[in-house]
Amino acid sequence: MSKDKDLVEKISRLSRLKIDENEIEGFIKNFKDILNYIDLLNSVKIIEDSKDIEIYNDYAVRDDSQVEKLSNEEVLLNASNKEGKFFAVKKVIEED
Amino acid sequence: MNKSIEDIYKGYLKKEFTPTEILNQYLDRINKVDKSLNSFTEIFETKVKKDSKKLDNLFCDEKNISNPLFGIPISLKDIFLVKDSICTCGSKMLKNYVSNYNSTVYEKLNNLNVLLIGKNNMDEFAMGSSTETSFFGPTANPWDQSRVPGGSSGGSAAAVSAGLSCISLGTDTGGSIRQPASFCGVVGMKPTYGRISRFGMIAFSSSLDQAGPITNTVKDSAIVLDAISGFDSKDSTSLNLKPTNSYQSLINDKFSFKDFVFGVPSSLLEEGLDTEVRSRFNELLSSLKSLGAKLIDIELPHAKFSVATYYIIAPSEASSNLSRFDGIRYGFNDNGYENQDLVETYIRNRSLGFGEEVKRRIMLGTYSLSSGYYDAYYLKAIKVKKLIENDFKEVFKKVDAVLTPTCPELPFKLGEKKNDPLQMYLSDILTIPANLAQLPAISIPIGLSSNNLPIGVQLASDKLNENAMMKMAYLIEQEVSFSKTSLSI
Repeated sequence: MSKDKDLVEKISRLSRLKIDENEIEGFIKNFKDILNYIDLLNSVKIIEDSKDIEIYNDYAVRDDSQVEKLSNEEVLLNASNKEGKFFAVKKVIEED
Repeated sequence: MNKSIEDIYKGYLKKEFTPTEILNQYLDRINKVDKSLNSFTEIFETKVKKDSKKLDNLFCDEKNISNPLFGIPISLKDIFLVKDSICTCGSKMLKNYVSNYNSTVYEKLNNLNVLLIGKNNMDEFAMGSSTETSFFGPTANPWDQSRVPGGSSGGSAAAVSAGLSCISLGTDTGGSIRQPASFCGVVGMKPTYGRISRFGMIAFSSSLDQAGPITNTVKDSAIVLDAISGFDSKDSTSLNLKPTNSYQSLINDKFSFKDFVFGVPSSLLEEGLDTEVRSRFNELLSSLKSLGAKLIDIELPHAKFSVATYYIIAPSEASSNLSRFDGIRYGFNDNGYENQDLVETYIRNRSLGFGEEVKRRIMLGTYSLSSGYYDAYYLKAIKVKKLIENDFKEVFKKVDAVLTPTCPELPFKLGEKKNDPLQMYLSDILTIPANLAQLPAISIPIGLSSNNLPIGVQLASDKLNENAMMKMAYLIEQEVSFSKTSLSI
């Protein structure tokens, strides 16, 4: 169980999430059930060349021209912390 | 109640009622029953009443009513952005999020003078098959309020079924339009991937998501599809095609069951079907045969891998799409930033803002994409997706549509599968293949179970073959003449 717990903690950290201590056991169980089910794919034989893999068939590209954008105020409308024209976060550059 | 677009349009032309009178009928009904259904996250009562007054004036001159969507009361799944109003996506993360632009689909409908009544409840970020993962509480099924309406577009399907809006738009990533339509006894349609712009529709799994109509009739579905389809330069995966003309082809062309070949993947349906779903489906097959339709048995050898494939691809894309929700530019923020490390701020906002199912899927996706697992999971899934697509390509050389029940089971009880996500995922086994193969598919109600619960049938056609699919769906609809008289709400 502790190996599973370590894995869940690693994945949750990568996902920028935290799973509550009291929920972790149930979470591991569901997660394992799903992964076991997904292992069904191991029984599929793949003959095709991997070059064949594309998610989208075609991308549409627009002309490289100026388009109407949201104003500064509109962009900041939903930010909970702002300073002047900027989103505010704690300083991320460390000083020597 | 339960007027179709055509009923309202004809009534307007004959001046039987005004847009405001029609709107008030819907608003009254919402006030009466939505407390018990919870199918809306927001009602725009003041705004829509103002809009209908404007239409009352236009309505006096018949030439203003040149399109069938004029003055039609509609609702939208709360995943579509409408400028200056809140778009929650069923999540605490976005409970105060105000859209500052319109989704393309809403823009198109708005230009046709629809009346937007409100936004429909949904599974959080469209992740679920029961509308129980919504932060705003579950929606109940109008046919039996102890049961789920399906999901993720459960609010949309419940609202249309109960006559709280004439039509609604939903989104379908693995069956999220068709499964709730089947559970609620209405028509739900997912077009070919790329038919409809995804601009302004909050992304879950970008290579699979597609918007579509939830309506009372097949003709209504065609009217809405024609109105919202077509190329949009704001969506790079939008297909460079004109809007569809499925409604005109439905009413002008001559066609009968004899013109179509239906394929039934019997081996896929061998196990796991509810007995009543199976018997109603078999009855339908018999009557189609007697009406001259050609039915052949087909094989989709890789379809049984669809759920496994889907639960790698969709969560992987979701983990990437939902990484934008950090609570800084928008979304839930636990406030204060001065004393927290930036990464800790992200973790705190996301952990408090997302519900359990969303967290599970983000983590599944992160896992499938993480170093050491990418080849075994994501890459493998993309290859199997291709095989599923090829299966359908072969089949469509011989048939016009693949016919199956929409769901293997009847609407289940609220809470029944909430703690067993895998069982919940498996309820989408018959709808997921169309998403993986990018096909259009439609669910039509074909009858009721012994305990008065709707059963739906699904038709999936070849890519871009919506016109023919609508014709087949229409023929089936006319043949079964599904009745809502036993809907008691």
